[in-house]
Amino acid sequence: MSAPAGELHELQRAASTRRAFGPRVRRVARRSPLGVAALLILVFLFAAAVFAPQLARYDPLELHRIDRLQSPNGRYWLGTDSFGRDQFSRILYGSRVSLWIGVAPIAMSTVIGGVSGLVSGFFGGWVDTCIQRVMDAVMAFPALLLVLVIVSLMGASERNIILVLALVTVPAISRVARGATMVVAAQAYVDSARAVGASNARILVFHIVPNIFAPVLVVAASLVGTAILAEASLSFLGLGVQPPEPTWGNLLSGQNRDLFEVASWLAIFPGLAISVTVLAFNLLGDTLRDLLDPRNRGRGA
Amino acid sequence: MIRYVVVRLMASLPVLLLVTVLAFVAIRIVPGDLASVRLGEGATPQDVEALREQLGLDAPIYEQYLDWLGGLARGDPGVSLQNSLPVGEQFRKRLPVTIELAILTTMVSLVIAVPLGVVSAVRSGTMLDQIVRVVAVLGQAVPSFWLAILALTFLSIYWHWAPPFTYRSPWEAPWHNLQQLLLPSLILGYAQSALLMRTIRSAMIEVLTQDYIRTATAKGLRGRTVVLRHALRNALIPATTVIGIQTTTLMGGAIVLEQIFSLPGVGKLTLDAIVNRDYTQLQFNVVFIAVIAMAINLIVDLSYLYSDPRLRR
Repeated sequence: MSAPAGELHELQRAASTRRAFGPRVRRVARRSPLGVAALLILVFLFAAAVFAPQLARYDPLELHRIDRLQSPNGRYWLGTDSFGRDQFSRILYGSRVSLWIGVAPIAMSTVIGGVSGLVSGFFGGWVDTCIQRVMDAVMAFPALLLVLVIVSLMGASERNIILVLALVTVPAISRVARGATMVVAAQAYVDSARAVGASNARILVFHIVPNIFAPVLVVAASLVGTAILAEASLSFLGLGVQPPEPTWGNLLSGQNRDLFEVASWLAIFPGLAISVTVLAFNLLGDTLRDLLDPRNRGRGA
Repeated sequence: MIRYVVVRLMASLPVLLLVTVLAFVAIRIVPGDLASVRLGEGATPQDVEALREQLGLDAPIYEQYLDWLGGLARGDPGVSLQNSLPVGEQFRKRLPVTIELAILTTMVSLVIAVPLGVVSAVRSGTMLDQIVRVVAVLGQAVPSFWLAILALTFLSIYWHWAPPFTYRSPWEAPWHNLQQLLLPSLILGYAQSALLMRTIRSAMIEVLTQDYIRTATAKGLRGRTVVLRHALRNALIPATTVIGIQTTTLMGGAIVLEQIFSLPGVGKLTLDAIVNRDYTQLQFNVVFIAVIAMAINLIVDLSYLYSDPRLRR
C-alpha cells in the first residue's frame, strides 16, 4: 500500500497548488496531443448522443423492408440490418445508452466510494476495518461475474444495470479515497487546523475533500471505460438492455450475429464505436494522471 | 514469516464469511419468490410448493443461510435444480477447461508484455516506445468479444476455417484441443497483456533510475545483463500483482469468450446456470469463484515474501 500512497501524496500535492494549474493545462495539452484528441472525441460523442434525434437519418426502429442488409452507401451510411433498419441511426441512439450507463454508475460510485473512503481513512479504527472488509468481500468476486449474476436475477433494465455497476466499482474508488485521505490527514496543515479548533466536519470539508479530489477523479475516468465495456458484454450475452432498444452490445448479438459473414459491416461499426469510446475515456484518465502528477511539472516547460 | 502467513489467513476469514453472505443475498435479490420465478407462469401451486420445500424457502432467511453454509462446510452443497447432479462435482468437471484457458492466456500475455514492456522502458520516448504504448492502450479499449467475433467472421470468410465446436481434453486430442483454445487465449492474452505491459514499462523506468543499476553498469556489466538480471527482476514484482488480479478474473471463467467458443468451462457453467435459473448451481459457483480468487490473492501476497527479502522479517 506504501507505493500508491506515495504517489497519491504527490498527486494530492500537485492538486493543491492551484495557481500553477492554468499554465500546466496548456503545457500538458502541448505535450499530450492524445489527451486533447480524447477530449475532443468525448465532446463529439456526447453531442452526438444528445442530438441523436436531430442527427439520425431515420428512426432507429423504422423498418425498410426493401432495403434489407444493404452495405454502407449514400443513403444508409453504415448499412442496414436484416430488417432494413438504418445502422447509423441505431449506433447513434446506442451511444445514449452506452454513455449513460458508463457515466451514471461511476458518478454514483464516486460519491459512495469517495465518502466511504473518506470516512474510512479519516476515522480509522473499527470503522475503517468494517468498511474495508466489506470492500474486500465485494472485490473478491470478478466484477463482470457479479454484474452478470445480479443484473440477470434482478431483471435486465437500465436502472438495475446502473445500480449494479455502481456497486461493483465502489471498492476501487473507496480504496483510492481512503489512501489519499490518510496521506492528507497526516499533513501539518490539518494539525494546525485542529489546533485552532476546527471541527472534524470543517477539516473534512475544507481541507481533505478538495485534496483527495484529483486521485479519485483519475480512477473514476478510467472506470467509465470499464463500465461501458461491461454493459456491452452484458448486451452481447443478451442479458443487458433488451432489444429492440439499440445498444452497441445488442447490435453485435442476436440475429445480427448470424449475418456477420454476409454483412460484415454489421460486425465492424458497433465494435468500433465501443472501442473508440472506451479508448477516449482511458486516454482521458491517463492525461489527467499526467496533468496532476507533479513529476511532470518541471518538464517540457 | 509464519506469523505473517497466519495473520494473513486469519484476516481472510471474515472476508470469506462476508463473501458467502454476499453470494447468498445476491441470489435472493430476485424480485418475488425464487420458486415461482424459476417455474414460470404455467406452474401448478403444488410444483411451486415442492420447489419451495427443496430450496428450504419456508424457513426464516437466516436459517436458510446457516443451512446452506453448513452444507458447504460439510462438503455437501446440494444438487443442481436443472439436472439434479451435485453442484460441486459439476463445478469440478468444468474447472480443468478454465484452468487450461487461464494458463494459455497468461502465457500469451507474458510473451507479449514482458519483451514489449522492457523494450518500451529501455527505449523510452522513442518511436518504438510510442508504438508499444498505442498497442497497449488499444488492448485495454477493444472489447475481447468483438475481436473474437471479427476473428471468427474473417477466418471463415477468407480461409473457410472455424475452430472445432466440441471440446476434447488436451490429453485425449491435443491438436483438436489447441485449435479450439488458441484463438480465445490469443485474444484474451492480448487484452491482458495491455495492463501488464504498462505496469512493466513504468516499473522498469522507475527501477532503471535506481542507484544499484548505476552501480551494476559502473562495474562494467553488459547492458543486457543489467536490464535482464538486475532491473527486470525487480520490475516484475508489481507485475505479479497484475497477473494475480487478471488470473482471478479468468478463474471466474472468461464468461463471454467461453460462450463464443463453446468451451465448457466454469464461465459457461455459470452462464447456463443464470439462463436456466439454476439457483443452487449459481450460488455455489459464485462462492467458489470468489474463494479461488481469494486464494490467488493470498498466493500473490506470499510470493512477495519470496521476491522481496525485506518483507520476510
